[in-house]
This record gives sequence, C-alpha cells and structure tokens, in this order.
Amino acid sequence: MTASTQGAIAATVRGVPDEGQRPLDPQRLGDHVDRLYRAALALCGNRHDAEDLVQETYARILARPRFLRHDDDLSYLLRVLRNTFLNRLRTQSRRLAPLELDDERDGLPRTSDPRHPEAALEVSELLGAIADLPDDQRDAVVAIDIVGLSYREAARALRAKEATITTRLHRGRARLAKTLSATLGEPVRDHTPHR
Amino acid sequence: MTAHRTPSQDPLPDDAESAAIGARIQQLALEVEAPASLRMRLADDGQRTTGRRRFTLPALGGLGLAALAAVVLVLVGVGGGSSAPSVDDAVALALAPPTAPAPAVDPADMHLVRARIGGITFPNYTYAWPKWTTMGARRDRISGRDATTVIYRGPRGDVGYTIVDGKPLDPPSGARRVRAGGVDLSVLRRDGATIVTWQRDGHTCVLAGRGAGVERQLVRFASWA
Repeated sequence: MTASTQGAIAATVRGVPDEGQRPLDPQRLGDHVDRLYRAALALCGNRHDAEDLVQETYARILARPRFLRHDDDLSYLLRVLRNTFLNRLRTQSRRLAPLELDDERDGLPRTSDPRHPEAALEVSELLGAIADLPDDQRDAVVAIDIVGLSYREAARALRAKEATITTRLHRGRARLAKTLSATLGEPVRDHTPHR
Repeated sequence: MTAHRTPSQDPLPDDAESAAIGARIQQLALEVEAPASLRMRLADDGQRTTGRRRFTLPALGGLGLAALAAVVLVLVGVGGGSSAPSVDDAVALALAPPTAPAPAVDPADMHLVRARIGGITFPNYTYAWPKWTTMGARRDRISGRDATTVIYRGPRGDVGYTIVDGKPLDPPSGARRVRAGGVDLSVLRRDGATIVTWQRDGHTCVLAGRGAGVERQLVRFASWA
C-alpha cells in the first residue's frame, strides 16, 4: 500500500477530505432514488430484491462520510449499487438460495396513465431481459440507457475503457432488440382503455 | 453533478438502429418510479442513523446533522404528495380501468391471485364464485402511497378491489355499518357507485362497482376476502 493510499484511507476514516476530494452531498442522494431503483430492477429482475438492493446501497453509503475525487454522484452511487449487487449474488450463491422471480407480483411497475395499459407488461419484459443479459453487456445498458450516464461516466463507474463500454452497449442493445422485437420495435402507442 | 448523456459526449457515433433501441429503452425505463414503500424504508434508515448519532458534525464536515435531516425529508418528499389519501381516492382507483393484465391464480393457494400489497394478497373470487373472473390490475401512487387494485368481472358488472399501503384511511362519512362474516364493513354510495370498505391488517380495503344490485355481492366478497 502506498503512502498516498494510506493517507486517503486515513482521511476517509477521520472524515476529512484529502486534497482534490469533495464530500458526497447527502442532500442530493434523494435526487437519485428513481434512477437507482430502475438500475436495481434491471440488475435483479424483480421489485422485492431491487428495493432491498437500493436500501442496502444507501445504508452502506450513509454509514460513513464519502469523498469523491473523479466521480460525479450518480456514477459513484451506481458503482456502489453494482458492487452491493455482486456481493449479494456471491452470498446467495454460497447459501444456494435461488432468487425469487414472481413476474405477476413483482414485475408490475406503477403507472397511472390509463392510455398505456400494456406499458406495465412492456417495462416488465424489458427489465427482465436486461437482467438476463451477460454481465458486461447488462452493466453497460444499465449505466447508459437505464441510469442515463454518458459513455465517459459509465466507463469510469464500471472501470473500463469507453470503447469497451461502447462495444458492450451495442451488443447488449442488439441482443435486447432480438429478444424483445415486439416491445422495442414499435413506437409508443396510444392505447385505448379496455372499459 | 455533471450533465448526463448527450450525443456530443459519445465517443463513437451510434449506428441508427442501436441509437433507436437505446432511445426506446430509455423511454420505457422512465415509466418506472421508486415505490413509496422504498422511500419510506430509506427515510426510516436515515432517521435511525440520526438516532444512533453515527454521523457527527465533524465527521460530516460542514454538512452535519441538519443535512442528514434534509436527506430524510427529501427521501420522504420526492414523488409524493403531502396530504393523506382518502377513501374517495381509493374508490376512484377501484372504478378506474385496468392498466395491467390480470394476475394469475396463486398455484400454492387457489383462494388467492398473485397480487399483493402491504402483506395482503388479493383473493381469487373465481374459486368461490365461478361466474366472476379476474380481468385486470393496476398499481398507482396516491398522495405518496402505493395502491394496488385488482379488477373482477361478473354478472353484476366490473368490481374493483383497491388496497392502499400504509396506515388506515379516515373512515368515509355517511356510511352504513354492516357486520358480515365477522368483519365490520362500511357501505355507502357515491355518484352511482356502490362502495364497501373495511380494514384488514392495518390497511384500508375498498371494493366498488357500478352494477345494479352489486351491494350484496360486494358484502359477500368483503367478508370472504
């Protein structure tokens, strides 16, 4: 461990920012709940686990002061969310506990727009399909299309080169398009209520 | 916070097809909002953290406990209204059209369908009344609280069953009190609709329909649910 790394850790433990660092603003965390929840749904594939994942992510972040050097808040939050997700997967695989997937109960997103009675099903299918992508493609699609990061921010959050992220994103989108041709291939429709 | 994705930031031009797929994914994703139940859980966590004083003023730099309290307020406030929902709000949802397909029957318990909120699972009325079928569902948020509705169709028309998550709603005015099957029910009429409401496991349940003579069936449903 280098002296600068030791210094950074010590500074973080003391709650004092190192040079070039800025504190994560806890007042802004609430701004990102929707985006992180969408990302969690796309990672987990069901609402129950997604809620738990977001809650655990926030708990980890709020457990001690956080100081960021290069990341913007959302990139940092996404990285913590993804790491928390991977930790949970490892723990679950050790326990041999299968993930619950209950589409009828958990995959029902809220929508208050009666013009789109099929929207709930479309979103549910999309998030389920993203969760089924290979991990690297899934992470790229989640970072850019679900959370809304730029390529540069996504590359930083996922610790990969921008070109690599671009390739993974293209492949992930192509696979999703193939899986969900009916959902992704049509523009938003003006559905008529059933009754 | 830096600005988020703009085309000029992209290192390589997307081909049109990939960009179109991405735009559609982004469009669909925007329809998903974090549920009120999650916001409440986060707010509770923030309050517990404050209570244990795990954050100290020096540890948060210049932000301190006031900032943490602000987090709690933001987490509770984002996306939610300030006033409590009413039974009338729940009735409006019960009488609204479905926005999602009918939930399937729970294979583990044929008395139930696979839709639930606040620990309560919706009934499969077809099990006891074969002429009534589950025909749709919807999930909404009213005044910052989740509400799930299952819609049934039968000889008396369509009937919506809405449960609002969280604390019980204020009882409606002008209702008759009825006791059926050991359950205390409130029965009322609003704008041509018949409404039966009761409390179960600390939540307000609402059944509503517009069909002629539907009241008796609603009371049966409520006492069976």
